[in-house]
Amino acid sequence: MSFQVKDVLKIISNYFSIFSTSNIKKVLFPSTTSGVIWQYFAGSLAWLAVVGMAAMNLRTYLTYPSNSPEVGVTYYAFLTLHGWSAMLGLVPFAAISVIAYSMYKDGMSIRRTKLMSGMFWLANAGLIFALLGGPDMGWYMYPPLAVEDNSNFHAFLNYHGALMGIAYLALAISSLAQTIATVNLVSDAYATKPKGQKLGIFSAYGVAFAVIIALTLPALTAAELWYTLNILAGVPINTLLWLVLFWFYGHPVVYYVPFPLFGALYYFVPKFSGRPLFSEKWARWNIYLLAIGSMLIWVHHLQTFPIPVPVRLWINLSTLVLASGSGLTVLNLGLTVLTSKGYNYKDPVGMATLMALIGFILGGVQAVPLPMFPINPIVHNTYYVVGHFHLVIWTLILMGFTAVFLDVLRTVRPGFDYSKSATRLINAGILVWTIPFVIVGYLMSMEGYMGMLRRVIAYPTTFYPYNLSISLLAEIGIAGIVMAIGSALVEFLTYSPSTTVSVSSGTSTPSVSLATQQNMKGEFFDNLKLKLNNNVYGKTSDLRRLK
Amino acid sequence: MADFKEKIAHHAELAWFIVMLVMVAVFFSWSVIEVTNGSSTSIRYGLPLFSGLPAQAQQAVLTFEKSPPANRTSEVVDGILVVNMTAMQNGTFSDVFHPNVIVAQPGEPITIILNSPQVITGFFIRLPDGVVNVNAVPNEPSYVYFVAPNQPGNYTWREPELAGYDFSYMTGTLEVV
Repeated sequence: MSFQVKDVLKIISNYFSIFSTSNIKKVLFPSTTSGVIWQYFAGSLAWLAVVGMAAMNLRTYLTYPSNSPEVGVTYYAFLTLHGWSAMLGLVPFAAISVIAYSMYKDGMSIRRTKLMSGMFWLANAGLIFALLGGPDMGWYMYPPLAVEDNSNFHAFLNYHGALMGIAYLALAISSLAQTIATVNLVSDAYATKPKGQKLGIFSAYGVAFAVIIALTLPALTAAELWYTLNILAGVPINTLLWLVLFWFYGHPVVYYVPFPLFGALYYFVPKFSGRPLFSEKWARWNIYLLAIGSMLIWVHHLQTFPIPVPVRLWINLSTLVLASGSGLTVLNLGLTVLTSKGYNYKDPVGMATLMALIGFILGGVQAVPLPMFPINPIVHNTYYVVGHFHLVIWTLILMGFTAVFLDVLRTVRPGFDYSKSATRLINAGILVWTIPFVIVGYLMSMEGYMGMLRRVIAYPTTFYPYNLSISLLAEIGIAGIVMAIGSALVEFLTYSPSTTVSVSSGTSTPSVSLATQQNMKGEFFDNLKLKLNNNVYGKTSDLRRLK
Repeated sequence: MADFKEKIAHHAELAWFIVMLVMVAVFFSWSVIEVTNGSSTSIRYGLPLFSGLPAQAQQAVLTFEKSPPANRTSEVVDGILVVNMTAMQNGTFSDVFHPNVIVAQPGEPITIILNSPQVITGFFIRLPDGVVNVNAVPNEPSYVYFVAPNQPGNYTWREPELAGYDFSYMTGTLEVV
């Protein structure tokens, strides 16, 4: 009996050895490029979970057309949680993880890993501190609503007075940390680029848009600091100027993830088409068009605001030129697929890539009329716009991100691949996610065109069937992405790189476990599976063989 | 012909890029013509600028501001109904728009001077001929110009911008009689 208790304690202690100080340090402050990539991917997924949960809360309220004004307090707090988690958390972290991975894939590395992980935690801490205040002014935090704290308006539920200024300061530090991380990526790409070689198409897009992030994200930091100075030192805010400053960041931010993902698509589509990219030359020239264009069109978010006519003409032209660049991307990728002998959509990465491309086309088409200012006011501030940008997020961004994530799992562990059953589950999950959300995107745009205003909690009953359908389809779709990413993660975490290992041992600590752990010192996830499989009363077990 | 098709196939990207640039040029030119002629829907329904108003509406606004009516909210000036509207919240969502009822005749031109002294608000109304949709920022009035529908009836306008918890309920009525 005493032997058994001792044995159990040993097993438990073995389990908890995963959480040793050195292992925790390795996870919190990784010292390898792949470790940093993992860290930012994990951060992105965590914020994605928050974004999704907040969104489903909102969708639940919207299944009822006559919510009382009291609902507004909760609704707008969740709305801001949804928006900030997406735009200030998920987007920058996902962009950095994809860019870092593109560098890794093309033979570059991150030299200052401690700096990257330090910035990761600083950015998270700032954002979490601000979110704990219960902001309820919406993600683009327009002034003066976002700095009000009186009987009519309060920008934060829990923070008042100087604390509001400190919350904006925390946000400014968060965005500054993200900027420093991207500057570091550019610097490391320059320093570690293989001599005499052209950057691969994936990393060329990744690094180019790291530069764009580094150039535009400071506008957000400045806007947040302006709020801090307003609240703490009474510095006045010019509303229109603040809006222009914010959107100088606020428009390019929607490209932070998609454009590095264009690089991923340029890399994956030829691979799964079994032929070279239709035109790599154009793909590379397109970087300039997209990078420069993305910074020139921000004012189109202010079409219904009192801005001068020449500015309107400029944004109309510049937005359409940028749209041409996106069209060129679609054409290049589309022709690569169509002129191939058969696209391998059965591969999970191939499937996610294809859904990202198709979704981008469907979501992009919705955007074409938006820069036209004779048309824009018809749908500005309605669900038409919400349908468009969410459709692009659900497909290009999330499916593109999923494709990269699935490829990361394959790449960081040589020999790992998805089993047939996991492949089926992942592909099914991708379709269960994409198909409902494409319908949701178009339903939103239809009701928006008919006059359903965004962010409302009470609406004409005409829109009730639309909102009910949207909420139900979203519930179905969410199961899809959980199924896809969940299946891939389970497959990865339960995989052992050993081929067929079967060891008999009478000792309480199987020798194979120790031997394999020594071979893979520092590989946290490798150890996890081995410990789970082998430390059962010191008995033997077969390590799982997946391939 | 076969040669031409082959050339197109080989230069599909360039061809498509040129097609897109032509489309951009056409769309952009259309916008410029619409704006400069004052015939675009944005101008007709009130680009939110004083300079975006038709000349007669600009004159009517100047006359209205020079000698405001006794009620200070609305007056017909040279056949144009000028409305001086303010969006103010006082803890409740009712009566945010002052005035919150506009009475107009079918086909009557209407100009709204929209003031929003507290936070960013807006004015959104769907009419049979199109949508009027503008924002107003504090300390800077926005201007709206549109023509009342020919069909008599009540038309609801809404506040389209997040301007506090109650913005879903901030409405007003255009009564065409």
